[in-house]
Amino acid sequence: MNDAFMAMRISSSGLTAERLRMDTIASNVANATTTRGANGQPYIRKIAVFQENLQQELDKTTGTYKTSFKGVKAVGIVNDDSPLRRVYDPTHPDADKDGYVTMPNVNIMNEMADMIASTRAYEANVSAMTAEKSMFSKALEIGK
Amino acid sequence: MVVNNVGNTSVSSVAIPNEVKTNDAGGTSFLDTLKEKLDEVNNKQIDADNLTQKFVSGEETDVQKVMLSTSEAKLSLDLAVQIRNKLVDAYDAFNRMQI
Repeated sequence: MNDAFMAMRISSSGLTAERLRMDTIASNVANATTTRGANGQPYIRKIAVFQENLQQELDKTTGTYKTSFKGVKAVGIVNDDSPLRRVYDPTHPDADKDGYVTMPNVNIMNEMADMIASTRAYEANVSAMTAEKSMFSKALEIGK
Repeated sequence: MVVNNVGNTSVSSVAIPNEVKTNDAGGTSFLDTLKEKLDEVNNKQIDADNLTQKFVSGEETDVQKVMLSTSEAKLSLDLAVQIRNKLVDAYDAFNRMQI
C-alpha cells in the first residue's frame, strides 16, 4: 500500500527541498547589505545543496540488491566562496581606512533569478503530484 | 474532528457472507485481510488528522506534508470504497441466484 504513494512522496521531498532553497534565497536577500554577519565578517551568500536520495534493499527472494527512489534530500547549506564586494562609502560605520566597505557577495538579480527557478520547480513538483493523484483516481475508475 | 475506528463496523458484516469466515486451510481468511486493510485505511485517516492538528497548532511547518497525508488518506478511502462496492455487487449477485 505504501509503494502506491511512492511517487507522491518523491514529489513531496522535492517540495521540501524547494522550500529549503527558498529559505536560503530569502536569507540571502534579507542579508544583501549585512556588513556584520557571523564572527564580525560580512554575510556570506548561502547555497542549499541537494542529493539524490536512493534506498538499497536486499530482495529476500532473489538475493540481489534493488535500488528504490526516495526523491531528493538536502545535504547541507554551504557558503558561496566568490569574492566579497567592496563599495566606496566613507560614512559607513564599517568602512576601512581607505573608505571602502566590504559588502556581502549577494547579487540581488541572481537571487531573483534563483527565486523564479525555485518557484517554477515547486510548481513542477506540485504538477507531478497532481498527475500522480489523478492517475490513482483514474485507476479506481477501472472497477466502476 | 475525531475519526472513529471503522475496523469492525457494519461494512464487513454487510458485505461478506458468513461462509467466508470458515477457513479450514488455517491461513488468514479473506475477512481478516479485509479488516487489516480497513484498519490501514483508518490509520491513514488518523495520521492525516494528527498532522492537520499539528499544523494548525504550529508544531508542523511543512504544508506539503499535511497535504500529502490528507491526499493519501483520501485516495486510500476511495480505494476502500471501490472495493466495498465490488463486494456489495458480488453479494447482490449471490442473492439474486436462483436455487
